[in-house]
Amino acid sequence: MAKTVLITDDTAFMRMTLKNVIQKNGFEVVGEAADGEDAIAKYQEFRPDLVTMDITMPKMDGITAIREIMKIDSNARIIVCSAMGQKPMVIDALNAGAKDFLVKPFDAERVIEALQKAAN
Amino acid sequence: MDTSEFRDVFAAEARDYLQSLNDDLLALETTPDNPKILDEMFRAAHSLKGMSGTMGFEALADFTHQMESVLDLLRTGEIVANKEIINVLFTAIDYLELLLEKTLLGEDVTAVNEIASTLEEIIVNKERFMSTSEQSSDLTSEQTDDKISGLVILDPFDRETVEQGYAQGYDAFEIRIRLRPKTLLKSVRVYTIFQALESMSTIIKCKPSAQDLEEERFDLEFSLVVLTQEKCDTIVSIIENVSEVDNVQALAIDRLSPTMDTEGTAGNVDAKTATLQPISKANANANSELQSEEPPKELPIATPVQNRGVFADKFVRVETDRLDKLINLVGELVISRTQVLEMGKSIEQAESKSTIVQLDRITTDLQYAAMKLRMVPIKQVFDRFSRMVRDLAQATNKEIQLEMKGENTELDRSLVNQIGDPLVHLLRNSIDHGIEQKDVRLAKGKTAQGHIRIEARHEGSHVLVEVSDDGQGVNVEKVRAKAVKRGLISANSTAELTMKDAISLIFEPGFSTSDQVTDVSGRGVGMDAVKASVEMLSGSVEMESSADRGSMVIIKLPLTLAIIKALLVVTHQQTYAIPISSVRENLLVSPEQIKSVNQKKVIVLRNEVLPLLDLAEILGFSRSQVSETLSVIIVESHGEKVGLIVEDLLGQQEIVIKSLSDLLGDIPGIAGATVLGNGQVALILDNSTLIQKEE
Repeated sequence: MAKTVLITDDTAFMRMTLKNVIQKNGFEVVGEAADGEDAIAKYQEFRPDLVTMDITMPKMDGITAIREIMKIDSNARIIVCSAMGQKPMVIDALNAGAKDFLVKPFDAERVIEALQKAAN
Repeated sequence: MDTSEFRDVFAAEARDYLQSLNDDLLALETTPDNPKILDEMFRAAHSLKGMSGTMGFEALADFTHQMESVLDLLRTGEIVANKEIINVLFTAIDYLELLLEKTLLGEDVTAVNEIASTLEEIIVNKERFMSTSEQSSDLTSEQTDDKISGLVILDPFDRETVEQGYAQGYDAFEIRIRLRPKTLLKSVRVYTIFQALESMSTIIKCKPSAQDLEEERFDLEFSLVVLTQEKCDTIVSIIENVSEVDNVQALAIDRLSPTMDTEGTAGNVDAKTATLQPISKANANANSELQSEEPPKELPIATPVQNRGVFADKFVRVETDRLDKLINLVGELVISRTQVLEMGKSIEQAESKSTIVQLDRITTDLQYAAMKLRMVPIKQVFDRFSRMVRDLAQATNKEIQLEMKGENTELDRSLVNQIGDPLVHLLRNSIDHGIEQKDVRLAKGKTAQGHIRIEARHEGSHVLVEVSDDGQGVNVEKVRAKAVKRGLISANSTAELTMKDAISLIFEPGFSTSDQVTDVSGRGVGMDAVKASVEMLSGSVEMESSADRGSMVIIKLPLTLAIIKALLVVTHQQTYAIPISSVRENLLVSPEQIKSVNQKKVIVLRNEVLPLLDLAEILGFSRSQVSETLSVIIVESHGEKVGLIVEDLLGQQEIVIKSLSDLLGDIPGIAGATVLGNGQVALILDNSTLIQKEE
């Protein structure tokens, strides 16, 4: 069965790009969230196998969202998405429980690799 | 094309390339398959070839072409940099240097010699130098083809940790990891690998250092040493499951020696040490051939490959003559400034006064900026030391690690040029007399590898250069025996000789504690020579030593020689300047305090008998008139104190040293001249030659 993915990003464009790449490679996108709070709600709703999490978002940032999701499900597999130059935040995210990180602009192969490795 | 005007630039650049070839080769010795270093060396040889060809230096171009070919074979992995090849390359670089200097002097040179034919031989018989991994494929895993470079060197402390780990049932592995090219946020990627390993192992060492990894000062490869109870394969697959990891190799660290095993054995190694030992023994013979090909692991220091290019735009090469001229002009300006300041004292007008103050400030700033231009990092001198220590360590069959610190400490160019020889002498001393032979060191409970450290740093308006070693220290008994033999002290009076006494004896002219004259040091030039040359630079030397713990020599130098503090004195209506660094004190002496020994005048100062000389007389004037009291300045040079009678003291002042013109040449007793604030010219006295002249 295809692994399910929840995409979190505040820009519709990024969600669209990611969704495109992810679906083409045998994963199923079960939901899209536009901020941290939304992501927590959708996580509880869909219980996806994998989550991609942007860092800078309105309402609740990605790092806080990772912490909250980890509280709900300590086995959650979250991949943090960052821009260049967000090194300290990526480290925070990893410490909060993220399994891997992606750096924008995304490279399709990297996205798939991260998802596959995190799913293992 | 007329290339003569580029000659100087060519010479300077070619020497730079030679230096970097030397440095890189030293680094290569530690990491024989480091592709970065090989690329760097290949480029250097290639550039040298091109430059030499353009200048029409055929012999140079031919020889560098051959070096380039050998480096190319190394770079492409067709041959492997074993000890033999590295030694050939060292000789080749030396020969290249000789070739370059001879070419620059316009001497007839030819590239055909035995070194050139050795290089040729390597190129023709390259099969003989093929990678060892292929020759012994039964020992290596399938991953050896993309071999990752960079062996972690375990220091004694790490070794102990590893041994303790074994005792508690842990295995130690060296894990070499290569990241995929174009990996972004490499340091974070390393962090995820650390995180992945955390739960099942302890990382005891990494190379590059954790800080370098954190700051991304590495290319794509790094190594970790971990202690774990897991199987080697488990560790490898955990890391392989981290994103952007290109290649992982794990090597078991042998229990008995710091040599690394291959993965083939590592996989079979059980956590229990009982089974580990026979496996290592079984492999010991098979491995011995491999090991002999590897460089000695603890010996050399890795010199980082310099990142040229990045700074290329930040610097311009300026002829030193032009720089000296600028300094000279600034010196003149400083003198004029002093004159203007003196004139300004009589001016009442507030406006003119503030202008003069401003002139004063700008001139001072300009003076410092100009001085700064002439400052160069002491690295220029330090650079040649790693090679020298390596060669000397080999010659004396000792294992020596050289640590250099503060290479970027800056001091005046003229000082940098002259401090090299004394430092070389100190290093030679440490290698020859300080560091013991391996067996002796081990018997004393020290590491087999000796440690020499050279550090430069600023302290106030001085630069300190320290040379220290962890060798045997000054042997007081030997010093005493030698001192008695040389007649420096009498046999009876030497019952109690302290370390301090011994050290001061070492600085006596003509003293050398070496039992025999060796190649390395002790050619009759002793510590007194070091002291003399440092004092010539207005510096001082101190030494500390403790038996079996090592010695430390501290050289203290002024930042610059162009402007010094001087004591102005008057004799025969003329003003003279005495560098303050050689003045010990000044006193007033009444005629009855002057005694006579062997018809020579002396004074007794705190139980010390000092010869008393009349400055006027030394300088060839008639004797100073004896008044009620005499002004006497005690100066010290080469450890000897002398009293100089002068007519009057004017005080201390900063003076700009100007050398006397070539017409006058070297005048004994005179170091140069300076112009004083009032426009008057004063000669600067050189105490060492002045006093010798009199004796």
